[in-house]
Amino acid sequence: MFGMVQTLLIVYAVLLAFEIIAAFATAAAIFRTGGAMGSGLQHLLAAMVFMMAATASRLAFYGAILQPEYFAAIESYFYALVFLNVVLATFNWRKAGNEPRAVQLSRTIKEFYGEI
Amino acid sequence: MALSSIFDVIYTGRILPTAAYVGLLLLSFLVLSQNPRSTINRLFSLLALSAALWNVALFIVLGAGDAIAAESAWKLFGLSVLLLVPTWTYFALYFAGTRITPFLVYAPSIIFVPLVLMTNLVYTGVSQIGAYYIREGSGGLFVAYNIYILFYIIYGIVALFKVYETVTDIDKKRIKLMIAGIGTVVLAGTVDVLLALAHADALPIAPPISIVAVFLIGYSFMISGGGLE
Repeated sequence: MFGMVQTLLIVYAVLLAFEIIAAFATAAAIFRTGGAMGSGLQHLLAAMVFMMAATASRLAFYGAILQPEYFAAIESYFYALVFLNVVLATFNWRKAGNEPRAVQLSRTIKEFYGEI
Repeated sequence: MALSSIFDVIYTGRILPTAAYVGLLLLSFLVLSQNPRSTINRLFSLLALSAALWNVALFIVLGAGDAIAAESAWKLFGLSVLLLVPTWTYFALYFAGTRITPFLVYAPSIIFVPLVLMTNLVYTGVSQIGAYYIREGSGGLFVAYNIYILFYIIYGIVALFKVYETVTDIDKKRIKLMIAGIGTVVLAGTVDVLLALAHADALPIAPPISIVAVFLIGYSFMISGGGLE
């Protein structure tokens, strides 16, 4: 069905998307638990900082600490951390942001049905 | 071959895309008439109109008599998908209360439009299966294109699910109908994308299925007590 390169590309795209979501969720959770809602752009920028930090630490791993042969070990450790983080961050994020959202959503729905 | 005979039955007389087109146009006007000044209603109207274009494109694809006509018809279909997918995601995000620059949401589509319309990098050509022509694609860009569409449509439905969890009980019934309607189309779209990625000889099934969304969302207006008087 797929060639080797295409399969790797899909796996890489999925992992990268997951990492971006994790970074975004972490940024949003930190903003909200800190009391500030933060705009979408601020979340994006913070998420980019997280991604850069992740890339830098990974490069440091490959460059100085471990040999590239151990990439499976490094990557699985890294993604285990990312996964734990996205689970925790997503819960906190939603807990922190639910109250004002409910009011805003109710308004949007009433607007959509022409009730206000 | 079994697949193509299924499509022969589904698309006999091209009735389904025509019905979906008419239904979507009516739904678009209904929603806009509820509150013409509201952004959310304008967005939904645009969404329904792009889905209508999607069905028109499928109608033309099904009627294409030769490979050249089929190729240009498929290009129109590709254009309508590239318009529909970000519009859907933008609408879902807007509904869920996320305000994001439209340009950011539409950026991947803007990149893909010239690739789909002017080059053979995403889709390489068409081939005849039974009475219809289907489009063929291969290569890294084809995979990237399909993953983009899959990610966007699923992201949109996740955003709407979050709305459902947050709203009050009075709104829940309407949101449930909306999620059921659009979710059916998104599910069918997901099947289409997966079939395309598997290089199956299949025509898209999602466009005519949008008639389910038309009925369910139309019904959600009736139970709201506001519209359809």
